[in-house]
Amino acid sequence: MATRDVRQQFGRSAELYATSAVHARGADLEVVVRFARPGLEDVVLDVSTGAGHTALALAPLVARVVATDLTPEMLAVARRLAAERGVANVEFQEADVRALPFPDACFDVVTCRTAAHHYPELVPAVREMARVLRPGGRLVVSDTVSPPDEVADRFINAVEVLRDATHIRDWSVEEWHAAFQTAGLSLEASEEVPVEIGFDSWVERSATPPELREVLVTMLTQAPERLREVFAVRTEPLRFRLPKAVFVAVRP
Amino acid sequence: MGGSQDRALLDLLACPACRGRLSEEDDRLVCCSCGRRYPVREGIPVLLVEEAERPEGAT
Repeated sequence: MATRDVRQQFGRSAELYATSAVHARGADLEVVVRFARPGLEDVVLDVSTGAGHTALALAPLVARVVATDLTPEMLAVARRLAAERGVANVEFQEADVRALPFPDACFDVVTCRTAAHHYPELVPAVREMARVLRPGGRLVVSDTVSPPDEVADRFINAVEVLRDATHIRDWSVEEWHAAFQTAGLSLEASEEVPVEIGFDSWVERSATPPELREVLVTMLTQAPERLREVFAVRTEPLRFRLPKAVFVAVRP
Repeated sequence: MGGSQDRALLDLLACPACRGRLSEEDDRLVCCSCGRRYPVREGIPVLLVEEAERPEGAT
């Protein structure tokens, strides 16, 4: 990837993520907080914080939160939201998940929500997040996942890439399990939290060009019935459902 | 930067290139091991290896 492409993509639309219902109030956020088992003494790292929703949800429950993102405009939005809510124990840094600017074993919890589908490779990112966890620390990730069916997997990832050129892949549950194992983490729990996508705001956030929006409408509404069922495609207004999963994996 | 909370933050940080300790120097964070200098923009440290200035004489 192109770090530059991701920064451009999110630099453009940072403000829309401050108020996006999927990001600010998604059902998975409550699961992420529960899986993190936040303690008052805990130091938390929120990787790819975006508009900071996860960092801000955890901040009142822990000692401090460090929130990183690749995109300065996103961090500016997150910092403004923190100030508006009077949250003082969150610090922000521009950083890349592939080379986190922290020593080994310094966080009690690492969170990563709605971001890994932009990572060019999953295993190095999970390894790096595992590296900064202290023994007994929890890695909590949440992201849209590809369905086990290969055709449905290819279909939805094609849809996602047309919508947002910086989309790499909705990793499958199996790929997540393998990444945790390779990084030496043991999966403790997982929960599926499907997310309802309203087409219009979805393509608005990603600033998808009008011609590609048309292609996407056709793909979603004209897909074979089986695929439309897998993603619960409904019209007027156009909407569909993406499988999403939250995992908590522990560093032994 | 500045203040005791930021001191605590510096203790938590490491150079993303070599994981050396960072110290504050003229609005930059400088790695004590490899000498890379990281900018701080709008009060936010930019801890990206590709944004770092290499120390003089390094290739």
